[in-house]
Amino acid sequence: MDDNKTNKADFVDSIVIIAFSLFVIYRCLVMPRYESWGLYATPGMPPLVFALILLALATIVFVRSIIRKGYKIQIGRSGLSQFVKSGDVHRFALALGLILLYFIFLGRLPFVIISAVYLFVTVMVFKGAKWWISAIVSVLTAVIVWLVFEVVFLVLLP
Amino acid sequence: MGIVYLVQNIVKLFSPLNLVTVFLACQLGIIFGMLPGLTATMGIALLTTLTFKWSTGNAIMTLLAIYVGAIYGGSRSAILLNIPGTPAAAATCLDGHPLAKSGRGAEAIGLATTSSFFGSIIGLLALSLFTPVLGNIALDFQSFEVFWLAVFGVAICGNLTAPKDPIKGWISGILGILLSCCGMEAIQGHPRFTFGVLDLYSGFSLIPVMVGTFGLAEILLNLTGGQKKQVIANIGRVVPQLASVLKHWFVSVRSGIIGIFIGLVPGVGESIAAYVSYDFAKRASKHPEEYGNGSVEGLIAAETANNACTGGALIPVLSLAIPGSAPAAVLLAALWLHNVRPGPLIMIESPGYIYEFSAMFFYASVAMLVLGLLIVKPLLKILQVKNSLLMPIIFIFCVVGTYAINGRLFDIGVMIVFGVIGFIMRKHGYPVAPLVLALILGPMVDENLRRGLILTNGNFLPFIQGPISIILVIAIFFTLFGRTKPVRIAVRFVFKPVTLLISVIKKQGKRK
Repeated sequence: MDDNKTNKADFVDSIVIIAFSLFVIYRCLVMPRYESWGLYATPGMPPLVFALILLALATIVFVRSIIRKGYKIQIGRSGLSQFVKSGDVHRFALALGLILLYFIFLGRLPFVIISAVYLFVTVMVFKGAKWWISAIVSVLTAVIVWLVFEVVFLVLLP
Repeated sequence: MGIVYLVQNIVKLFSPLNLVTVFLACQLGIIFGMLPGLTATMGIALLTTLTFKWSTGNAIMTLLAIYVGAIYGGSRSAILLNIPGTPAAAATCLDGHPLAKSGRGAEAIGLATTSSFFGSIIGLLALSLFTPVLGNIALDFQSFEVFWLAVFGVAICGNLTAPKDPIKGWISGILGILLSCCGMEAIQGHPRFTFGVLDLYSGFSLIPVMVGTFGLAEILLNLTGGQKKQVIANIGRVVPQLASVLKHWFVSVRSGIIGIFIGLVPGVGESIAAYVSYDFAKRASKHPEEYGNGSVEGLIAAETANNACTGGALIPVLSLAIPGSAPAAVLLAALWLHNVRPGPLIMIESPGYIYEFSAMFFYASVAMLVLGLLIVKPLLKILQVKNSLLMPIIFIFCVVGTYAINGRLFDIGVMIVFGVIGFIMRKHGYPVAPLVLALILGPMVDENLRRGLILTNGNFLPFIQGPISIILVIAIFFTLFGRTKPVRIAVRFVFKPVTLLISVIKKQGKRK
């Protein structure tokens, strides 16, 4: 990532981290205090201290990104369409989408079937091998994993 | 006496079953290490889950062999592909690949193997000799010292894994501490940040977070980026000449010592050890211009240091229960899963275990040397497999490994979420190692801070009174603020009389 992109990313990241630390601080303040133990022993004390440090660090990144003009983010139609058309974004969305689909079906369909299908589709989508090679590799991998772990090592599979 | 115990344990562990286990695991480790995208950390994390039901001795031996093999294996792809198989082998690319391009690939692999073995043996000696010493010192640690030690671990890990922008490393570490606060806390039993989700009452398990941030994030990076590989496939005799190994003995010894000391520092790891050692070798070399163009010294320095670092990184694991590197952190988790309790009490509960562990490390190192020199050509075929075929298969292992520990689909969900978080963090320059290290050290910070305050009725003064606490506080201060201008000016001011004295002595020496 070049400096300009890093500054813009820092600007967005710092806002997210500041929001997260404020949320943690709020949750710590509303936590039960168990005052008989002393205020210093309340369950919310350590996360509160570290959330305050996180807030301070994120604020430094935020201020630094503003000084370096990281706030100049153009969320126009052209910028969005460029982002959507990017090959990296497509590949990431595809990889994550397939993983999520696999996760949704895990436990609902037999492990061997769902794993073989996931492997075959992913290898085909990312052009890892010819279709017949990916079919053989997918089925073999799923069966071997099932045999080795569930049958030999008695490990529980989803 | 330590050496005698070590030799006794080496003899005790000598059995055909152990040898087969260690050779197979080491070979698997080499494959993990040499494949770009699969790291030593990921290998140990996966095998931790898959060896869960094995006997403790066999499982730990397997994991150690994976660790040693993977750190070495990274040099293969670094030399032949110019892509470091693991981060530890990044410095190996600098001279290993130019050597291979000039037709000396076999020599480079041979020297990398012998250097790695030499580094491992130096690490082994340090492991068996220093661990009991550090363990005995650690027995004096109370809540105050343990608290500062954990904070120091997170701070220095953040500092060193994000050298360009340490703030990002510290942010990652603090996020890890906050994540470790999820679940039922240990003193009052209050569920923190659980939001009514029952699965969160036990907090985030280490394995799903680790497999997600290291494993799945790497899979996503590989599938998203897609690297083209060009393997140098023609190589000759790998076993190096003894004379060429002995010629650079001083570089090897110095690099080994550097590797051990960097390994001792929590969370820093093998990649930094290799770079620091490479830098030392370059500064001290008579031919610095050869570095980066195929210097044998450079290759030896990097490879010796990264493998010596493995031994060094295991010293704080056993004696303090604080990992010296990311793979060592996973190994620490594995030891806990297998009912071995590393930490200050190991010298009381099972003082002999350190030597048994060192003996396992010895067998792993021997296996690495034998396999590294003998099985080279068949492994070149594996290097030619496309990442887009390999990564989905690795994902299946990530799923199986994550699920095997608790049998909960929730853990797979956690692994996926942390995979995405790890992916974004890496893309935006936030190191993930401090997050994982802090997830381990977080409960130590939390419990020891509150326990210490309860013992002293809320008085914070005892936290900064003992000699060990003072040393740790100073170390934390310099870790966090050592680079700032006011601190640098203050240090220069304090040491001014000393520098003046040195310059006067030098001048007088020149006059004579």
